[in-house]
Amino acid sequence: MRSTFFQNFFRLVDEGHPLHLLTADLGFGVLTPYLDKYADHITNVGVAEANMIGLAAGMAMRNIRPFCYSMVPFLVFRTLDQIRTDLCASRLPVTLVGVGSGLSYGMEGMTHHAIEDIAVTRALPGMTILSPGDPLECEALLFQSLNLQTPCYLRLGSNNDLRVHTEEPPVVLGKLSCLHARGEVAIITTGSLLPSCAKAVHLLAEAGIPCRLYSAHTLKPFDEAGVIDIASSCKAIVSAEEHSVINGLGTAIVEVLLQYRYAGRFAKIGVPDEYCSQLGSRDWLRDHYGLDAASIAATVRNLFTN
Amino acid sequence: MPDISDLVQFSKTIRMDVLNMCEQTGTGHVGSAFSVADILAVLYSGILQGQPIDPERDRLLLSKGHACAALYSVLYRKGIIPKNVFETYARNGTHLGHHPHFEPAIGLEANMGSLGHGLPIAVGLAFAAHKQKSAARVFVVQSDGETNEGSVWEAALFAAHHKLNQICMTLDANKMQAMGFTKDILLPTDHAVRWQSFGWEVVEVDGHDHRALWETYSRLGTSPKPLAVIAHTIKGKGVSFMENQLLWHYRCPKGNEFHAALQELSGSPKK
Repeated sequence: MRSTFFQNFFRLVDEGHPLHLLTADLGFGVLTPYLDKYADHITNVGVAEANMIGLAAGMAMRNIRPFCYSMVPFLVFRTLDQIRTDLCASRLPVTLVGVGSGLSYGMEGMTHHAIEDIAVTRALPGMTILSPGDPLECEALLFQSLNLQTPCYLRLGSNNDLRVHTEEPPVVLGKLSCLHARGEVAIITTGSLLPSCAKAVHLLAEAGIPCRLYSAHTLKPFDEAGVIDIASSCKAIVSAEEHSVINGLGTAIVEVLLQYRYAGRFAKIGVPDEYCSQLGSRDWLRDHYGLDAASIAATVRNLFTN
Repeated sequence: MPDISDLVQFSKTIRMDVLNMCEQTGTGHVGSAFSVADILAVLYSGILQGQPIDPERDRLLLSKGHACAALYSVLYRKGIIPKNVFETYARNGTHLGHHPHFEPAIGLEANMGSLGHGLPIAVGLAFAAHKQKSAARVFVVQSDGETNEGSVWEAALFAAHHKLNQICMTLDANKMQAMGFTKDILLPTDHAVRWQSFGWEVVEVDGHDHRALWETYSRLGTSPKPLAVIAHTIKGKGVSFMENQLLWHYRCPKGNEFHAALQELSGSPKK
């Protein structure tokens, strides 16, 4: 996903958009190929994230469009005061590009995990939250986000994210994307859990349970009408996210379902309200927390059949 | 350079405005506003160029946002904040609260009130201007207590590394912060030495000497380095019983205090 982001970011620079990439000393390797050619559009601010956000605010005030790049915890948690005060309250078009969503950097430890970022950023007035599930979503959302004149948070997984989407239907910022449209049960997911959910849908189909699949790549503003549309035709809905069960995608869906007086069944899949006491690779941690394809499929099956 | 007596009179007007604003509303940081009054008086009397709507204007960020009563007075006296807006200070429904709220049209360039934010934003403005080959300059005023914040030093390093000599940081060094004397709270240091060591051009000045301030600000851009003006000031400057008294970081003048302060301010300016 990082590679997709950088390829398209510099494509936009080539097209003449006044973009500037600020990095807090991260991106070695993935950013290296661009450093010389795009030297005027890249600045390493050093390991100084708080300054990076303030700096971006100042640049945006002069109509340069900064993209601030770092790992999610350092980008979002360390700098929250700067994000709310300098960006959101002033409604400045600065994009935060956070890598390592969820448990991407599993073995690095809790300092590098990012399971509370949606919860925190959802509460920020004026913030758009984009959480692409595959490279095609990343590309489409990046392009469409340039129409925003307000702060934006683009949360990315690590590299090697699988392509799930086909070209049709096109990904639209602010709208749920439907990847499988048949069935009386639906999975709504976000971010890099999308490939696991696609696999879960495949497992369910093999077990004779057709299941719909939606990608909530835009978490704010949230597609309430899209959720209501799903609720009106599904007996069961499952949310799945590599994020805390508190105030993430699942909570956003529940808020809509309660207003809609949804009479069907609902289950929330996510990381429990804890910091990982055992470490492992992302895939190991996903197994551990029931975020792997088989566990997601089992949760859906239990909810639907019991 | 303006007539010094005009600058002195402007400072007096600012302090009297601040006193009235605080007395009428029972709110505000009088001591901090008095400490920065002369700095703002000089900056807004010909140093800052351009109108609020001009994208190429010089900008001022009052990072020590709690002293904003002085800034509101200056912006009102310079015709940037309209009278009917100025008169809403600290009243329900106002835009002019106890810390500046982003509204460039009336000279409030950023949300200020959380310390350590002004310098990074100012550096971003200067960095962008530099990239755009614009001559627009950025002035930021910080308190000495504010330099406890780490973000100040992140920004200081960046500005020096990129040789942003369009930025001027004034340290309103009144030697006091919310809980006491700065020297008693964190390791006492020589501000000038510290900013020099971070790669800034440093000038130390009496922050209540209008001529010295004017001459110092006029130097901006003559060095390849960003400019740090260490302005030695007195908290509560102008009213003898407020000077260097921590109480007046918080207290609003009432009754006899107000009248005594007003009388002192309206007399000959103290030097």
